[in-house]
Amino acid sequence: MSKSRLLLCVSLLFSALTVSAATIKPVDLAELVDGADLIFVGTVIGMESVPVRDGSFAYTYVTFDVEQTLKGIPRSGKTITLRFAGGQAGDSVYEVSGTPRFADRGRHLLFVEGNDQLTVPLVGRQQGKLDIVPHPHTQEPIVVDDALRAVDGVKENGWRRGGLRLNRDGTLRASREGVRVISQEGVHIELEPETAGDAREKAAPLGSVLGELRSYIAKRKASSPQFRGKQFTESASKNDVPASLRFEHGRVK
Amino acid sequence: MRKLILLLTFFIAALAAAPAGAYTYDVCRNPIKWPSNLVIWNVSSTSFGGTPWEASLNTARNAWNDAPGNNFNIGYYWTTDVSTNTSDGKNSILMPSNWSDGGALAVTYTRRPFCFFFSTGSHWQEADMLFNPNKTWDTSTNPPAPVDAPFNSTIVATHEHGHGLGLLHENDTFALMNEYYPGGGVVGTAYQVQPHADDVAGARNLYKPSTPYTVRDVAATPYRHSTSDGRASEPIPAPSAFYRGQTISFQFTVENRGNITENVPVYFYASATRQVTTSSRLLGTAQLSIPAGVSATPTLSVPIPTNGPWDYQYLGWIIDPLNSIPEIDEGNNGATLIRRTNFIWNYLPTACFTASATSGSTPFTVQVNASCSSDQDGSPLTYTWDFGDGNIATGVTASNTYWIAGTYDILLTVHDGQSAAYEWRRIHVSCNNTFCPEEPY
Repeated sequence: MSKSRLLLCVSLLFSALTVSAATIKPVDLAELVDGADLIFVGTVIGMESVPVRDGSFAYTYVTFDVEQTLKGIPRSGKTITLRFAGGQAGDSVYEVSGTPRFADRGRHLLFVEGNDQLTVPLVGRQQGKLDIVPHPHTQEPIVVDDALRAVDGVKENGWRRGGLRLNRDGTLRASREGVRVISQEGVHIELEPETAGDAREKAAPLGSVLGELRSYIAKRKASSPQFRGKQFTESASKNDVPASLRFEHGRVK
Repeated sequence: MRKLILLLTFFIAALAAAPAGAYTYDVCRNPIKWPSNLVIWNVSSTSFGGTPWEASLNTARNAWNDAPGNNFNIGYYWTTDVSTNTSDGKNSILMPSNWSDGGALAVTYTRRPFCFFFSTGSHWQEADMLFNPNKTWDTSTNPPAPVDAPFNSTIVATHEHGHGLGLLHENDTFALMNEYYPGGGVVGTAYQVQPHADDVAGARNLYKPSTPYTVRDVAATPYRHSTSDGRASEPIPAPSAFYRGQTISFQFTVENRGNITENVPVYFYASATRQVTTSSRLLGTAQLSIPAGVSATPTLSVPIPTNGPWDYQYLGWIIDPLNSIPEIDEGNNGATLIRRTNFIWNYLPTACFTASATSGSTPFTVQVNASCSSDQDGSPLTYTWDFGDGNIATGVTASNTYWIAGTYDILLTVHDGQSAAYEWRRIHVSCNNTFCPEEPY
């Protein structure tokens, strides 16, 4: 390995992949389920950053080992590769807002749409990615959203969220110092209730969340005209990514 | 081997990307930011020049430039020289003709150098802020309550400029950097678009002055956390109507945008206009302790004072109404709920009745008497009886005979000429073997 190549590899070790920064409209579970080409649970087994032809931008191809498919073509036991905007090209790192983070061996529940077309091939960008992580105390797998708040199941057209919240290092989040009422005259003020200590530690097991999601998907399939049965598109060749993939890539007239 | 290095690369890369704090994320073990405290953006005069967008973007920029204790400045250069290319050395703000970022309202692309192992910090080299051309936009600079399309460009641009400073999304608190539109919403009586308490704490954390300092600013806003999923904010709903003698209940949001805990009075008012002032009708007062960088949405209950009549009023509140705190921004202390509440200057009548019996067998006759109903205003009352079997009667007393077995609800409506009250009673009618018709006579 040449000296420069070694330096490049070492430098990569300390570089970041992506960061989120878009303004988005919240999507509910009905939109997540209806709009997805593919819903699956998978584990990241590979990530590769590929510069566009002129080196002015990069995409990152994330490959998942598919554990189970909840909507779309059943591909259990196989791999799926998704293309996300952002990554390394030359001596620069490109980061795109609203792009979720992935780490090797990360386990996720993903709602995929527009792979190879959109900069972030997930319904609602980071809303289309939920993390499956060990409960900090029991080590049982639980589902958390992008705010690291536990998802306990399905409620109407949304997620049923529990009281458990995590810090970014996977530990339980403690409650924050809040507002206090010192005195009041002629009024009665009720502060927002704090989540009880035991509720802050409870989260539904993964199997139960996926079970409720499966039932919900079946219901949407039977009743929603918006439920899309669109074919999932595998990522095209990574060897020759044209610059034109991202916008017109150049001056705006 | 190459594959292994690559995997290892991204594994560690992702760990390195994990933010150390709530506001920013670390690259090379330090929060990433711009190398200087002034950043110039090339703003597309083609996309926005000479349109209401110009004022909207300027408001967004100034919202950060004027944020209490913020030591960072955003400059604009209006030009046609903009591009979506994040490698051309220009920070561009534009609305591209093509859009491949799905349903996002706006997206910021950034570039920074690789983080070498000996680096002790990193910085942005370039950023481009793009607005979605496929969305409908509202460009007002003081939006009262944007929740859906048309999306308010001032709020979205202020959010994106937060990223331009180096701030991450903040989902845990009431913040403009909440990723879900409209973030923390707007602030104050004038419905200014401002970074909220948590946002400005983040900006100060990144670009702190070299000497210790104290920042004091408390604020009021008519937004709250979304109760549906606890993530995005939404306008606090106003109660639609109250009757004389009832207790008003509504939520209000206050925040401490400074960097020290404040013990601060909050006065609550009813106001005929959206501009609540200390001359508005005072409902009550409270003294709150608010830690630095904290927002809260408590619920207030207060009996309607007797000095009516009032009609339609905005419910509002002013934090630090006597200006006891020397604040950096004194213009964001008052807020009203978005919609007016109808204060109906009339006591609701009380509906009450007795029934001679509540169960029996067919044919079952029941006598009802509503003479225990009353009205505090002394208005004459009218009485309407719905016996649940299709029969209706009026008057303070009435009677009805049930010919078919079943369960019926007797509903009494008492009206005082302005408003109505209701009372009901359930009646069980069983079948008499010797007289039990299938159909009514």
